[in-house]
Amino acid sequence: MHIRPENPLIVQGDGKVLLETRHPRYEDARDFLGRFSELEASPELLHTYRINPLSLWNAASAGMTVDEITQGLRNWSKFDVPAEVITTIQETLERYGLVKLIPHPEQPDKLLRLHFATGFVAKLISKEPLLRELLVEDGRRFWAITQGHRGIFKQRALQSGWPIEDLGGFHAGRPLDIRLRATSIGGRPFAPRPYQWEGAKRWWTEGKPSGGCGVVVLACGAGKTIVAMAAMSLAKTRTLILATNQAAVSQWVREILDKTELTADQVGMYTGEEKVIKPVTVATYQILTWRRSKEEAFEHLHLFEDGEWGLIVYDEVHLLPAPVFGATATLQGRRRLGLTATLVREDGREGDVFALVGPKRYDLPWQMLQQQGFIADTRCHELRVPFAPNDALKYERADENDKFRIASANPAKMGVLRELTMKHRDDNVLIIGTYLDQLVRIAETFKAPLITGQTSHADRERLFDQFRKGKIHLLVVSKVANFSIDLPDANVAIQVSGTFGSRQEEAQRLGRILRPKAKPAIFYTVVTGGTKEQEFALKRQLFLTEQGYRYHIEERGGAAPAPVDRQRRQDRP
Amino acid sequence: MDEHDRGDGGDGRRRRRRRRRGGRGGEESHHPAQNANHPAPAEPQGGGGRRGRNSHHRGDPRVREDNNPPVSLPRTGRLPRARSALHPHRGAVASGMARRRRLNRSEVDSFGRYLAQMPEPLVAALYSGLGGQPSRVTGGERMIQLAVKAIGQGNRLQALVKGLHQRDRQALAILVQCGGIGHCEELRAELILSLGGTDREWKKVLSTLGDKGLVASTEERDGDFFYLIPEPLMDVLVETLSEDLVLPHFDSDEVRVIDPRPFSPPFDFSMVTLATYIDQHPPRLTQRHDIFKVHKDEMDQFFAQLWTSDSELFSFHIQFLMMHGMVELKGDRLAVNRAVVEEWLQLDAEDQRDLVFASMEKHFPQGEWVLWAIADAKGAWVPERPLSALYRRWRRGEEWRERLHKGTWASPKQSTQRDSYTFTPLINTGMVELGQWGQEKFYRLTPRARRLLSPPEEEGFSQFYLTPSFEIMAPAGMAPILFFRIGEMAELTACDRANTYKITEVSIEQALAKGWRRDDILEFLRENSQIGLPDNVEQTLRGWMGHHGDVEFHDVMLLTVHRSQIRRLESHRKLKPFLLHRFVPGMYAVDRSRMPELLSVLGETGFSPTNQVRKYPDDPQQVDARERLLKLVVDAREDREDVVRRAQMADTLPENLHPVPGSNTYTKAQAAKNPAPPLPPREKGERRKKEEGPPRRSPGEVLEHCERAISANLQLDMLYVTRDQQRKLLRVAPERMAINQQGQQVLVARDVAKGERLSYQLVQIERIAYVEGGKS
Repeated sequence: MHIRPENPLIVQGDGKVLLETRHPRYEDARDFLGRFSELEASPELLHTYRINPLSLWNAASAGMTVDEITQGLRNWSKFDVPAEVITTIQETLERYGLVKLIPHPEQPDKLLRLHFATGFVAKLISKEPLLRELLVEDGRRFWAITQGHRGIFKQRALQSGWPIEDLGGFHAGRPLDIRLRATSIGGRPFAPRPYQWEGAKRWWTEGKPSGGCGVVVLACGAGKTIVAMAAMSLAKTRTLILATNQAAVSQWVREILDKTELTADQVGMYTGEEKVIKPVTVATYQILTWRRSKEEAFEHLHLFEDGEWGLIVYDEVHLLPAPVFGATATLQGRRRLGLTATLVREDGREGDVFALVGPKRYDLPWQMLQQQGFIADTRCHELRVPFAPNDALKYERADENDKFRIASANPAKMGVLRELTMKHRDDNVLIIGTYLDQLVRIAETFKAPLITGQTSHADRERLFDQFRKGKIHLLVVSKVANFSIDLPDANVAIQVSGTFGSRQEEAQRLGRILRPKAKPAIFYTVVTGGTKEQEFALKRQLFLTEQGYRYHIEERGGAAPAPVDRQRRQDRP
Repeated sequence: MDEHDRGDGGDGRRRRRRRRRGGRGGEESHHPAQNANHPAPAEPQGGGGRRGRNSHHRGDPRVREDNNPPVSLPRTGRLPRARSALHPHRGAVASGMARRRRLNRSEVDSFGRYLAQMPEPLVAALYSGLGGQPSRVTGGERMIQLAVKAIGQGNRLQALVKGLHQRDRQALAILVQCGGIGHCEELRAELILSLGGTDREWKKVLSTLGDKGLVASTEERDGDFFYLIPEPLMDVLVETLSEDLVLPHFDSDEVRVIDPRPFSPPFDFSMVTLATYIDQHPPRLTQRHDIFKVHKDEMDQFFAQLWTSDSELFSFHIQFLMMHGMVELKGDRLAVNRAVVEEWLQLDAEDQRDLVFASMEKHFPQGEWVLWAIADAKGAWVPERPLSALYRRWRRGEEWRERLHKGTWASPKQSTQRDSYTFTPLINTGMVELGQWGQEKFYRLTPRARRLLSPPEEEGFSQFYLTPSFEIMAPAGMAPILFFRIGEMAELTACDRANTYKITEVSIEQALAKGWRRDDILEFLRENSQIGLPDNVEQTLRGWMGHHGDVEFHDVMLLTVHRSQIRRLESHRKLKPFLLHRFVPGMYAVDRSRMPELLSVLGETGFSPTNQVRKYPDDPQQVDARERLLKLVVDAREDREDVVRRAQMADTLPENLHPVPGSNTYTKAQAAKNPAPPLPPREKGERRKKEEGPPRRSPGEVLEHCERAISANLQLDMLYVTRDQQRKLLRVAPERMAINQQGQQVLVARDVAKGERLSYQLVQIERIAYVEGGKS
């Protein structure tokens, strides 16, 4: 084993690649790796990438060769490159293009024909059980798949070791001239940042059939909206944008009008409050999945078919509701762009996102964005407060199911909130929580406005607007504000309760203060020490710690709480 | 390992440090044949030799001592196994060539002594071979001097060898490779096998060499004898024949490596990782002591980067661990003996290597020599045939030597020797890789073996990566002790170029159970992690660990020193090794088994320790004696009577209280019970009667009354408290004072009413008064 400690990479036998971030050639190595491997975690000092069939498929479709990858790995690696990794790279790349999806000559809207390099390959594919069930006999000589199975077929084929070259093309949609402004309506110079362009271009892939579908992953506040607009300017077609809620829809419309040359009559909203279909239409997921009862159909799914969309943008794509998965299967023939900061689903259906929308095309470590000043440098604190004696008793006596809520709603947190609001009285503070009664109490105590799911859209907009303009400096919000709410000047976020161990929620809430700003950004999460809430907090923080954020932990409110029951595991009954 | 016992102290360590710094130990000649025949020099030769191992004179069991006369059976010490005697310098041929060509004074003397014991004809032959004319020399002694001088000059012998016919030189080289010994017929057979020709030809060649004094022989027994090269000539011959002895090697990209395994980590890495795995997942054994299949499959999968299933490399590792006690059988499972693993990890790299080679020896005899031979090629490929031939000659030389010593000179009917050997065991143990070019096979060392032969000065990595998600990634090449330590506190999750570990609550509990202290765990992680210890990890660990281990018990012999002597004690180099642990300045743990030694050293260094060892608690006998006394005190306390107090206590029982008879209270009480008729009006001048009963007296007054009554012969009225706590009003006639058996003062008096003479304790007399007019 030749050891070259001076190199920045370690390539493991399972395809994991470790990259030292403090290495002088880190950036070059990162750019190299990003072309054929997927970033898995980016904590301080050591980033983890994974060479997997999907990432190799991306590399192959981008034209990378086996030699380029293997030689590069050998040059950058501290140790020898495992033979099995080289074999995987060779086999995957060499297989790319052996199976192609091409437009069906007779039924291009419904079917895609499979083209095999050899009869032997055709035989192998047809014998794969998971693929066989998707195949449709296309005459006597060919196989085909339905358009709706396009994504799933590619996903399954990749898992079986067959990266598909998708030349099926896209339904172009009705053209629409979309251009970005050089100066926004607000009068500020505007241009997408280099990484935003890069994300859009990687997705667009120069308009090739192999591109035009996939997910761009960027940190909150990094400007995914700009990426979408850049993509729209490349695709130049009618676009349907799906967002998480009304506020997000409004925000999208505002941004589009501010930064593109589209006019108000070209941009419409399709929500519960108004239903206007325009060349660029922004809708909510909820409206699409709304129905009068469980037995009835989704009344608004027709939106996908109307409008002759050439591009569909899924904002916060990790939140894609399950019904949309099935409903939008027919949209495989259209270009699709997913945007998210956290491609993590607690239900583990990230693979379905890939099948529906496409593979991850671009991501950038949060730390990189922070170092370059595109997102705020944020300090994270976990403040642990104890129970008052009566509440501790109540907690101990409660059922396991109730313990989390009791801990989350610990009245002792008010003391910490008081302290923090005093400390940050000159800052723009968001207090975010999950439990309404707790939030109501907080809002009343600190005489701050409260935004929940029950707040009307108009009131929400008004309050957000006041916050943006600095008329109010403290806002209490429920999880409606988890996503897509742009409050650029918010620099302090205090999370008083969360949804169990949701990593994605933690990251999204941090994202509310990630816009770069003059004041330092600080994220507090207040938990009751020694309880289930603390245990879940550890899980919640995983995603962010993997992005390189460190939590500074402080005990508050007197003596440190005793450790959670530390009965040794082997002693436990 | 005796000469490398850690009790060796500083000297051994200095030697080891010298060897390590030497590195040039790798530069010295380690040509296999040369080294196989290289006797232990009296002094180091050339650059930084590793002389500590030239320990044949220390009774190294691996070195065979020859007891026979040097001529017939010269002291060779050329066993490949005893490479400590034979292999003091491990390095390139070039450095061997660079050795001095002139013998120093002591070598000259040694050579002279040797020749003096040789038969004169042999000396004459040698002298003649060196260009001398024996007939012109007067006396054997003079000839010896001249021969020694000639050899000492170096170039004479070189010229002799260079002047040999090629066949003669080749035969001589082969004999050197055999260790300087060869059976008469079998050696010639070897020569035929290697170089062709006939037996007759080679007989003549060897005779020629004998005539030149380069080869001698043993006595003949039933037609059998052994050819021998006189020992002092070996060094010089090895040097002079270096071109004939060197193995061919070459480098080419066209050599295809058979079954390459690019990941060839250091042995200590794979050993420690395997030990850690066994510690965390003890595999179960069958009755035949095979690992259960399911566990074996799991291990194979886990270690897929290191070895394939059923690989001999795995067997080698397991056997190594078991052979050295690092893994043992506990019940029906394998378990790690951590203390032994720790001990192994503390060994120097060379010592660890020796153990590996000793273990490898079981798989492939003299395998270490093969490695050194291949190492000569410096990474180039060594063809199989010459390597196999060399190895064959070593083996044969070994066998000949053994037969020579055992006296079995005749050729065995069925030879156990082979004409060719395969080095598959070395391949299977991961030391050597096999290459092929066309039909030819080649060998070269794996990176693992290279590292084993020449341990690097510095490790490639000194710290691991600790992430905020509780994972540790430790790259191979880090100090093995670090891997072991990590494995004590984190679960090993993957074995690869960088081992992956996960810190969990369970793993921390296990670390605490193994003796890790809370602060030590945190400090270890903090100091050895590239990014220090993230806050969330630290806080979580603190939560898991609680206050475990904050209180400890120590079974220790303590040494304390006056504060004025602390610095002197701590800084004295002779005393430092005895101080096992420093609790606080001036208080140290020492090994009680080394007390005599420590006392002696303290005396030498000017301290005056006390002779006695303070015990806490004290000597058991003393403790018992003191406890007995204390018990007596307690008993005495209990026995002591505070009679006044006791009396008062008796008094205080309320239900037993009555008005004093004769008192007003008594009268009133009685009157209340039986109201008396009203008294007649008192006549003028009539006085009421006084209360009846004597007054209360103090003990002193009681005594005074008694003495006065005795002296004045008066009677006494007294209120006496009997033993059963009754109060009796008595009139007595005192007779004398006395002391009762209990030592109490008593009044002997006659009860007037009863007429009895009784003793009355003075302390029981509550009230007393003289009887007016009462004479006893």
